[in-house]
Amino acid sequence: MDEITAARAAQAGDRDAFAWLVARYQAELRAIVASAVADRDDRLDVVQESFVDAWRGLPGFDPDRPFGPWLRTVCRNRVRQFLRQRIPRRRRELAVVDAAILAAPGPEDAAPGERIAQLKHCIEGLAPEQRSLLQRRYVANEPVQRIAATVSKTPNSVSMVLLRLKEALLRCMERRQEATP
Amino acid sequence: MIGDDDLRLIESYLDGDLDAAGSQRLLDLLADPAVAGEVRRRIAFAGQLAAALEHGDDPSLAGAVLARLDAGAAGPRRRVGASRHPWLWPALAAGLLAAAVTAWMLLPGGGRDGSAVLAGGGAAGLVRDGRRIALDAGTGLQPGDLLVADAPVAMRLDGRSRLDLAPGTRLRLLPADGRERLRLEAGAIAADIAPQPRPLAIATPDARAEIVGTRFHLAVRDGRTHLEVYEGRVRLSSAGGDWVVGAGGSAASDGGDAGAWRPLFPGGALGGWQLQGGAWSANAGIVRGEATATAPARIQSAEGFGDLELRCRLRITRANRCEVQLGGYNWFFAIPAGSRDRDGWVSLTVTQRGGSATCLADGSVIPLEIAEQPVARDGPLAFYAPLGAVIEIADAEVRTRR
Repeated sequence: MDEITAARAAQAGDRDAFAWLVARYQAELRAIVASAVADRDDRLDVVQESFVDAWRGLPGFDPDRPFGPWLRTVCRNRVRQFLRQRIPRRRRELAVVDAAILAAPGPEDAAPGERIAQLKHCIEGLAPEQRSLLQRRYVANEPVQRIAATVSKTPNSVSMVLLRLKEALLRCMERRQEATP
Repeated sequence: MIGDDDLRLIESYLDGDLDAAGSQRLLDLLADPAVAGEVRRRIAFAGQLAAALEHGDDPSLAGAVLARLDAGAAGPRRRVGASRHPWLWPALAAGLLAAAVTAWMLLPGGGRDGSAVLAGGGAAGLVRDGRRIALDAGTGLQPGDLLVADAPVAMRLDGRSRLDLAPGTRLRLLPADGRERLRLEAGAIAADIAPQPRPLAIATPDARAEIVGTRFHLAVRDGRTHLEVYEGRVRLSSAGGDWVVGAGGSAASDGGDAGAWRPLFPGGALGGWQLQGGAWSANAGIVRGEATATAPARIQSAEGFGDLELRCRLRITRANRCEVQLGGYNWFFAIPAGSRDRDGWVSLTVTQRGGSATCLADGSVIPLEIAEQPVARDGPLAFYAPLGAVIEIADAEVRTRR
């Protein structure tokens, strides 16, 4: 199945075709959402809701245009809606920052999936223990205090190591981007 | 430029524990056109990192989306069984397991100090008072014993730590009140050492490893001592000097062939160095490089280095970090600016040895940064200051293998 056929079939109500599009685009949507939503569970929700929005919006989709940019727009709208709806549930200290970020969004990342792929490559260059530390903190959401207790370090020390690892990965990505023609 | 304090604020925001002062500071940063983009980039990076760390596509996503459509997609819905704290159950399970293991370890059967064989047998044995004794699970161990592991052996030490001995290992237990607790005469051990009231030291033929509480692998091979550290920190000392290896790091002793320390900038001058950007000068023993607004400052040795030890003091101003680059920029360490109470100076020790490199800045382990390509590690040494920054280098000395 190709993308145009799948999009037209989904528009006609073919759920299998839509499932194919979900599989085709999930990595890209996860990357878009990841740039705005750090919490893993929230990210999953927003990605799912984006696809639900897309299904509902399919009658308005112009099948003569590419499906990808349309879907990305649907997803970015869902992300903004999520961030707006989250503000009232947040503590004031966090909510004012959320609002400031929403009020002046930065430039849209033209290739979010590529950034994630670059980041994966940079992560592969880390030592296994460094990857494990990042997994524990950012995938398993393990608190720094608990990680510190298991590696006989202070929480401040673990925080600093995490900070430096993130800085190293950012610089790795910058170098990869500079090297990309 | 945003500094470490601001980076910590961003972490607090992402963790949801930002206080009022931090919140105001972040608002100020977001209102500053010079740094707002950088702040946004780092906030976005948190989610990107988590997404990149997750494994591949979710094959259940399409089904979950269709199920939500069937259910009318009434609202946000967590995945069935998903937890906000996925570490919690494994942590509880690990706690119960640890309690069970601890209780088992406290049962009678160990040596006088709680050291005993956990698993072993076959070709593995124990030499005590000149006699060879067969090893069995539960065999108590005592100072003076020499474990001869011709097959894999697991043992506990002092009731709380675990050592796994590779085949071919000879490990001697030493008196608990001595300078060293164990002597690794040959072979290799993997160790999970419980926190110690005072450093536990393991001697090897040419070095000494000092452990506070950590997991590591220590081997004697080709006349040198090789160390890999998985958790915590281990100090390895040999005739060639000391170095501290942090989690994820490795090191090998020099086998007694380290050269003498020599100045990195002989005569306090820049002869033998390539000036590759910025304005460089040497005065009163301090080498100074000043980057411009458009060109970073970099100075690179004409000499190529293999294994080396470097010690120096560094000061970076007008930026929050500089870099020490090894092996022709294949590897580098990003050195954070020093604290004001030390006038900004950072004491630095860099050790490149045995295919790895470690760095300590004011006693803190600096992670080795990523090379773009895995290439030969020998090459020039360089110092780098980013745009607009000033780097100063003092008391720089290096020594290499003879």
